[in-house]
Amino acid sequence: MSVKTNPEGSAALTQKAANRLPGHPSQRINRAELVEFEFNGKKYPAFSGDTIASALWAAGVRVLGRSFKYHRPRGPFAFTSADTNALVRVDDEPNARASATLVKPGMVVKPQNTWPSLDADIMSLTGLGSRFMPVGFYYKTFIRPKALWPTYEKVLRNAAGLGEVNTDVPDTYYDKKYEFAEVLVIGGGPAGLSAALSAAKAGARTLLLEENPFLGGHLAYERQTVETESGPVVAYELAEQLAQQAAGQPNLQIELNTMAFGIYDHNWVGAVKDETRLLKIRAKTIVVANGALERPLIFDNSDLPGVLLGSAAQRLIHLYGVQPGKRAVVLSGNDDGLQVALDLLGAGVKLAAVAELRGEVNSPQAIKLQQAGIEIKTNYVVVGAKGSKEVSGAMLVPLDGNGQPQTAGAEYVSCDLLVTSVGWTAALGLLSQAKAKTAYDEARAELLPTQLPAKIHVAGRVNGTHSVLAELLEGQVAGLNAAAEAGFGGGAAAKLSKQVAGLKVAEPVRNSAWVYVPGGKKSFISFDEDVSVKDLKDAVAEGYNSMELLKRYSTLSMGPSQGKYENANTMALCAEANDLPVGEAGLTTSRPPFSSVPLGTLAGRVMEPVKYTPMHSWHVARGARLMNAGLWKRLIIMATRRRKCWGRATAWA
Amino acid sequence: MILLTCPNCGERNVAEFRFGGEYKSRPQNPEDGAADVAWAEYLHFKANKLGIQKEWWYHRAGCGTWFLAERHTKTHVVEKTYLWEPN
Repeated sequence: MSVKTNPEGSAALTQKAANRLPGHPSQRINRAELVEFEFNGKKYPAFSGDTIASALWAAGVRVLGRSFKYHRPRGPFAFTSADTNALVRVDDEPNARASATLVKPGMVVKPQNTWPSLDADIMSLTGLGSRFMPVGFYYKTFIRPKALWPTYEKVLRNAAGLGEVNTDVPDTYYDKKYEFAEVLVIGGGPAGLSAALSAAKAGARTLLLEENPFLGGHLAYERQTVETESGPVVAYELAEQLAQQAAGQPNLQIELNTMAFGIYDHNWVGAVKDETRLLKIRAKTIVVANGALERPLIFDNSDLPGVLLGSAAQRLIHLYGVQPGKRAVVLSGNDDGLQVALDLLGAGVKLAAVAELRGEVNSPQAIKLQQAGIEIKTNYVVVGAKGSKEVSGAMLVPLDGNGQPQTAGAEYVSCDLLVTSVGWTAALGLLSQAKAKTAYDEARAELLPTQLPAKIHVAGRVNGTHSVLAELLEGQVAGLNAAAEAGFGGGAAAKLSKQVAGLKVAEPVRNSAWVYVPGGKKSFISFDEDVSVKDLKDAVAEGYNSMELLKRYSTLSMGPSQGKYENANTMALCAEANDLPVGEAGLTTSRPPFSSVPLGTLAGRVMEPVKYTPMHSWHVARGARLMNAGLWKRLIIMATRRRKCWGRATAWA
Repeated sequence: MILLTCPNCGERNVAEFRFGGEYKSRPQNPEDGAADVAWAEYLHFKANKLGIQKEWWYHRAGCGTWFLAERHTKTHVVEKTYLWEPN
């Protein structure tokens, strides 16, 4: 589709987006290609490579829709494909993820779940009635009188559901492709790329799937220097180097824009490419390297637009060249958070406060911040975000000797951006489907795979490995072992595996023990389903105390994101409510699809074969009307002028 | 999407086959009137056990042969597939 550089002087294209940063090689947007699209009735400019979320954020638009139950204003908070906080209608398609959909010229994007307008949503008054809608309220209400059931149904059907389907849409092209690989690598980050390169070099026919339009994984949105075997490299430059190596590597097929949604029996994998093609893949061995998701911290109003994950701010700055805000409060629980603070500084954002959950910090990032004159408030926590439709301030509270918030020392810091960085959750869904066993690692405060079935290998952040050198080497081990299991090469040397094990043990703990900061009225665990901490505690108190029961009763993890940003927190809170250690709370069964699959890809091509008789062209040339007799096109009548037939005029032409 | 090895055609997707039921021997003809019960059980009762199950498969979208497979009913690991032999 052609992209114009403003031929008709469209006002939107000439307006300079308020929050754009200058260009930089790490960015994935093409500033030479201007694209115009419409959101909520207004036209906005974008660059080719922008997602809807990034283009709107650049234009200062943060509220993209309203939440499911209470109609609270919501916007993107993670900027990943798992971020379902910003589901919008794109042209005729409901429930498109704004963070994962690239802007195309002329796109018409509309908010969902809001009436009469995005700014003034009458249904947000349900927030006032929240005490009449406790967890599971629909199991207890709308029961009597029975005669009103049809009315209840009508009301509820209008209130529930997300998005509208247009049944007049003409068929879109969907198809399928069968793929076969000796080694399939899921995930194109440092671990996945390393695994794919190693497997291909060992001689195995390797297929690499990456959900983004570019390779590199988390390296693509990071600008710090990382250690590799050949010395220090800037993260996004390493991503480029690996991508180029992969492009030139024989035996290696790369599929971008491809999201694997399920690992089934005997290493059959389903994936969706470009949202329109279903890939049916059979692999001899699989390396799962699909990374980790950053964990949100739960506190009062943490769902306000403008409250972002640390990696979200980094994606905005480094992938899309968008300044996330003008004045930020950073809540850090690990060294990644301090790196985010440095990145924000580099993007010209004023750091109003850097709150640090830990008692002491002495990492290189901390030193750089101190050198820049930024005070790191150690032993501080954020207890709440303030703001009506967007964040306008944060309440910071010091922690006492026992790590408890001292509300007496609370201070309000005004900001238009609140960034949290408290830990990571390995994206274990695919591995669990493949029947890998997982267990909670107390020391690292995260769920990790412990036992892998035959012909499945794992590398990178999904295995709890975060340091880049370890990711690269672990990927190498996984790739070599997968290739060997498929019959190629001798596998990874014991020395290499030992080196990886040593690096992993030396990694700092990245997951803060903080899951929930008490004291809020509206502390949401699930943004998809508007389930709050109070709802979880009430459900457990009512007897729905195991994870499986809790999930079904409270609808936690049952929304569009399938709990990707909730599961770790739910597990921790469920354990706490039951007075159990976190590892004993249990898990819910992970089932495919791991990510959303457009129904059209499962339907496939619309095939209506047609059979023509030898007389067909003769009939058509003489103005015949045809009918379908099974698959055949047959003549129904040959008529060239109006005839009167048995007293009735026939209108055949 | 398990893989089954048809003794004629080789390794194929399970979609090409049709499950033919557990492998059971037909009951002999007992004299004491228990023949009906035995026959009914043979037809309708299934062992349905957790573990390796010997079962029939029919290669419907291929050569059309009937063969036996030994498959673990939970893990779907197919130990072996072979044609039936009288013995």
